[in-house]
Amino acid sequence: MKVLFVAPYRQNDGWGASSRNWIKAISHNKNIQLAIRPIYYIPNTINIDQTILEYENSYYTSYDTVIQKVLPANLHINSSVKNIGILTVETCDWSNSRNILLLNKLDEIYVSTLTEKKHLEQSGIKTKISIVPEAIDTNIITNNKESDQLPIPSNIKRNFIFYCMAGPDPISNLDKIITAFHLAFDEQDSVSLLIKTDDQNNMKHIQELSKKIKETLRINKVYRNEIIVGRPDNETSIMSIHNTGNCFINLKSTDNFCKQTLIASYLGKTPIVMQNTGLADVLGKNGGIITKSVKSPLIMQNPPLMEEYDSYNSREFVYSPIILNLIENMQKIYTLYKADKKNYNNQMRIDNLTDYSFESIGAKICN
Amino acid sequence: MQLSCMTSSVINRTINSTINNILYDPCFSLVDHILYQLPYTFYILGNDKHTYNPHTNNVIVLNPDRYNFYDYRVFISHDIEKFTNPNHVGNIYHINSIIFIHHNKTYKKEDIHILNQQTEYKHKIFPDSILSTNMGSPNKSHILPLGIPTSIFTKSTDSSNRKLVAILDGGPLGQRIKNILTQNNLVCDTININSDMNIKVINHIFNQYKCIIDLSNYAHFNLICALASGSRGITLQNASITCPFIEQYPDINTLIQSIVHNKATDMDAVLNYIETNHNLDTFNSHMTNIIKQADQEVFLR
Repeated sequence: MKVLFVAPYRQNDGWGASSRNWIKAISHNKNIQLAIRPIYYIPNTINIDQTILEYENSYYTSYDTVIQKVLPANLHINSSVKNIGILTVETCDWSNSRNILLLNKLDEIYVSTLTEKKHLEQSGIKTKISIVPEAIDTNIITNNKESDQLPIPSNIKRNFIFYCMAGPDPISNLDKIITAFHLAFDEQDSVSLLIKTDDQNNMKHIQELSKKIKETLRINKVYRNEIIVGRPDNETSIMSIHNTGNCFINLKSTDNFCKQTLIASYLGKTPIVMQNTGLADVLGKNGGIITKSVKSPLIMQNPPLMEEYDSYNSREFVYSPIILNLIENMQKIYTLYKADKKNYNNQMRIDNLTDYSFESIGAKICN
Repeated sequence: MQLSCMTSSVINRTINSTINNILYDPCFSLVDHILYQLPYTFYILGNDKHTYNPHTNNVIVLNPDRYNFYDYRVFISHDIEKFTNPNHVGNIYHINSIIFIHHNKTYKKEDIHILNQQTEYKHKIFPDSILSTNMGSPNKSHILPLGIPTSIFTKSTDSSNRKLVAILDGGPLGQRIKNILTQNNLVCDTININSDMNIKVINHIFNQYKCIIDLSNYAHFNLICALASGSRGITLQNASITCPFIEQYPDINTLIQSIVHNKATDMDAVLNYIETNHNLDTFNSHMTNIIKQADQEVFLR
């Protein structure tokens, strides 16, 4: 079977990295002869490795299937082939969006989680929806050295470290994480909060956000400082953050699937995720702790890049964490740790990531 | 606006090997007409005013609200500086570009480096190796002299029945020449040939004059066409003009003096030169290959 894959895989961002993982997964399917072509949403690109370049240099006279990992509004339907769209469903209820018309013209849609599938079906999508998540490069975990940690002071290193990868935007719910952290623990607790952000500029904004929260809490004279790091998004750097932290928190309202949350769970970092999101499906009962959530309209600080993109408006909704439940969960995890420090990493985790390997995901594609 | 334009052009170019549509940025000169001879449809992103009409069936000037109704395969432009803007249409539509570089513009070394870096993945067509060398012989360069349609540019009027001189694309310098000639009681017209005219009409205009003076960036090409129409081709000295039949003079005075001397053009030698150096079939064949190559290559930014 000849497959053409179109995605922004040359981009130097998370979308690009995810697209490259898809290429690796598809190329593991021995029944597929793959050709790939890039599209670009941002001008910042990277050099791609030889194994991927090989598929970019592939030309076939005809194709059976076209797989697109693009924004819904950018989907192109070609009647001579089977059209598959890989979607990342970040918000609920797309029923008011023009994108529905395009999505219903696809032959098949891949989403990462059952929750995303439900959101699409409830929005009026009639196209067949299959759950085919993004693959995870398990070599990253195999090659990980636990001793490779962030260079932070030893007194903080001895603490139990809650950590998250978030920006100052409301969608990341970082304000709720900071608030809950300071409300959950007092001076006697040996805990710290580490925030990894992907932009150096965000570090300053996060510091301002934290200052503002502390001013409004009015519970202490002196508060703990958060550790804010603006490390680049490469794999080694991200693994060093997992190695440093003890409990990973991902409460981003638009994250239904997140590779880092799965890696954190596998490493025994007891992820805290949100009810009603795809991450709650993926982690199941034992992979992490689920915080209760409340539905609210999507209010974005910044409008979409182009007016024509009619997604991301307030007719859609997302979930936000219930802060009191988040406090309880943070305390619960810290208690769990204190009770059995040696065994902490084995208590709540997913046992293996083989379901997300390139081979497993590759086998699900065009099946 | 159709938001899938970039995806559709990437997919259609990969799935379908037939090239039909070229997105074209005209230079509003005779050069446009040479390209319109190629077997493609040329789409021009026009404006609401609809002022451009090149009088050929295979050119479509689009209103802004129709830009995204079509899939384009390749973008052709004559302005390399446009590519310093990352939002040029080639990038918007995710199609590969072909850039014609016709004349020797003096760029600083740093600017040449920037231009070459920003057009690393674009095909660049130079009329000769001198221009290509001046631009540092960049990646994806082609040396391709433009083809002259000698079936259209023909001598149909005898020199004795022609007016003395016409200046193409006057400008201030052309106006000065015209003033001096008029003061000396010599008839001089200023003519504006642009791609709004039918190419046959341009040949007809050339056939009305013994001498054609062109001081524009396209002088080399325009004057060879004028030669094919039986006129003398005259310009000021210019390193990028290599045709031996084009008369080049160091200054305006010498140029004006040359006009009054009746020089006959050796038509056989001119046609032989064109056949050897500006053969239309050779140009069309190479151009078609470059377009095919650009179309099939992966679009890289």
